[in-house]
Amino acid sequence: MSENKTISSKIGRPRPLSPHLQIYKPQFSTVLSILHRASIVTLYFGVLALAFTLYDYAFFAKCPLGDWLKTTDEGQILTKIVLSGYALAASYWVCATIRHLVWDAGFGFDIKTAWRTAQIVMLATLVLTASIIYFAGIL
Amino acid sequence: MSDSISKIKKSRAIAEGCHEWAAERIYGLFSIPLMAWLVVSLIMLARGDYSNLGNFLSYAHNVVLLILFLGFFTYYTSLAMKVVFEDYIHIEWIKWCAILKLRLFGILFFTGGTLAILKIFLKG
Repeated sequence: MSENKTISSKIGRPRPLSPHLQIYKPQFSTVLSILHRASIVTLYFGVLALAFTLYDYAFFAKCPLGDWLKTTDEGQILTKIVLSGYALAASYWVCATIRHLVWDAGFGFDIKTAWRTAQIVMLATLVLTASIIYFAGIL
Repeated sequence: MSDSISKIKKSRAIAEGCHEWAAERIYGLFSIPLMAWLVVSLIMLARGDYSNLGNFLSYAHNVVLLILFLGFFTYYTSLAMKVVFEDYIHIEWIKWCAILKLRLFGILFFTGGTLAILKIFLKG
């Protein structure tokens, strides 16, 4: 860190630290990795929303936001979009996390296998998302 | 040379980083079946297999699994968010404030959610 500060003071601007999204050409593997992070960030807000919903259900008789979501047309459309988004995020997160755990166990690092697992992840995500949306009757 | 190695070994990145790396994997592993259970439960709720949230949370196993999900998943996603902050916020004090806020929010939402689940369970 101190070394980094001296270099940045020499060149007059802070140097980029880790994952430099701006300078690398996007590739299948990096895009999947970024999407994995994005899905976790989405699910972080999802789990906060879940806790908030439970709290609201338990302690408040009336919730203006909940009523708006349930009764108005705009609210219902917004609910459908958000729920579909969460179906996608959860499906992708499950598939990609399994892929990462397999890597952490030391398998599947060669380029051919990584490509194959990437394709499996994308396909499984689509199938899972579609089944969740279908079975929950979101759309 | 040996001096710099001992310096590295004492650094926070080694002491805490390895622990967090392992914790992320372990909590991720536990969260996968819990997430599958939650999605199936929410689908059942949406399809009317349970009459409402109160009915769903009147079963003890649902209560236990939902509290486990909240705890594991809040911790797992907070750790992941911490890594994102560490990677992209380069101003030290803002970074530490953001991470502190993450921890406080995690604790707040986990305790609030758990209290709500227990209240719904005991009332019903």
